[in-house]
Amino acid sequence: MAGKMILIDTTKCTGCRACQVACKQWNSLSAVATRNLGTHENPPDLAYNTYTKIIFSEVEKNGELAWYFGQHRCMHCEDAGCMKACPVPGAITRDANGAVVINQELCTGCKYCVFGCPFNVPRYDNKNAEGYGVDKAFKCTLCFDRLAMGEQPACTKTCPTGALFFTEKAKLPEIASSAAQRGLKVYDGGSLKTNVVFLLKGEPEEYGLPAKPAIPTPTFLWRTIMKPLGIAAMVAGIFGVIAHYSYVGPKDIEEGDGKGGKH
Amino acid sequence: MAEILVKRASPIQRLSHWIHMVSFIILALTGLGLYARSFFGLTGLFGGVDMSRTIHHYTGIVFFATTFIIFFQWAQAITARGEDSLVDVVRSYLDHDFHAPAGKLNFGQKMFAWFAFFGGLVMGLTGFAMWFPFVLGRGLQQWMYFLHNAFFVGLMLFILVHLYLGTFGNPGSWRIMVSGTVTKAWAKAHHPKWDAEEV
Repeated sequence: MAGKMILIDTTKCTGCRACQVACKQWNSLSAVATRNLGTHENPPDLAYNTYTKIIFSEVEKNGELAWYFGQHRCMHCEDAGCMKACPVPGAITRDANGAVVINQELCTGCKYCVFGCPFNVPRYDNKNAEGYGVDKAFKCTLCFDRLAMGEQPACTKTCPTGALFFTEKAKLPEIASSAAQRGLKVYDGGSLKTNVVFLLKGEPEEYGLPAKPAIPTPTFLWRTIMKPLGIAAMVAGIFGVIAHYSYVGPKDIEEGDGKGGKH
Repeated sequence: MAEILVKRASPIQRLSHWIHMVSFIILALTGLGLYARSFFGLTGLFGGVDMSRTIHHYTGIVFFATTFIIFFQWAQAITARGEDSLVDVVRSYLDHDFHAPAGKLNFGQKMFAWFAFFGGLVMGLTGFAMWFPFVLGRGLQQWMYFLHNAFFVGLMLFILVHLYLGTFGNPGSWRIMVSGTVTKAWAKAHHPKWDAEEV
């Protein structure tokens, strides 16, 4: 697959949050009330109308302050928990660029994807008492609509420092080796093979990323193990009952000698 | 032999069971629509996925309530100590000449009753969690989906056997659902202790 990726070189990020603004602008997302969290972080969290958010992380490194900038956003996994969880055909799809996209026309509002995501990304637009809200799930689309026109995503387009960089997924090995020379860790979601790749100076947790990202265990057991096993068990059960009726037969008390036997 | 009929279930017990059964069928059909993408077409039976899910939610309340009602209606028989065992149950499924020394309920029926009660409880609680998913927190909520799925499969298997044994497998049993009675011969064969002591 000629996939694309967003490369996030965290050492180049200055925390300007132009990506947040560009994302809101391109996707016509409404504003969210800000809140003082004691950092520059805002809006408070991802939301149905906030697809990306810069994480401002203050950590102590060898007795000194390190100020790290991470990004909370859809990672566009190649093994996507949201897609595993989704029960509606076609509601969450992956296109040729590697963009994992929720189609709100098909989304039924079950919220399974919200809890199936290893990175806690999809958000639900709940219809409130005043009737606002559409009861659908939303998240970053990798600007698949811009990609279709040969454009790059709004966030990478606008990034003034080149911290967000849109490129071919195939270039990852090359980028990884040059990052290693700079003493940076490549974070590509491990087995999830995310199409958003971070270059990190510190530990993943210091950027708000899970150290060992994986599809949540219950979601895996539910969708990958239990779902097919359950169908097999139910079909086997039906055949088992038919087999019992055919080979052993009903226990007919009322006919014959009262002891039963084959009818 | 003239048919002597023996009373086995009261009208209210039968009504409860009918409501429980119909609600289960509705729940199974609406639930299967969201069980797997390949079953999604089933939601069309109920006028689309939104209506299908709404029906599932409210039918769930009926099923949850009747789970308790039926368990307490039969609690005495379910908790009574019997003389039969799991081995007897398996043997009586395979050997027509063997009849377990069962009381009002045999060992298998008691097992089924406990599973129906416990399974209904789990399905109800996890179902409410899925209806209102932002209450429990992420970690716990993820398990609710798995449990709802796992117990659904368990209940389907138990109910498949229950349905078969109550109809084709043991002719004459269906009468309990219709008239609340069974023949004397049926009672004597299937539940000899009950027949001897209580009928």
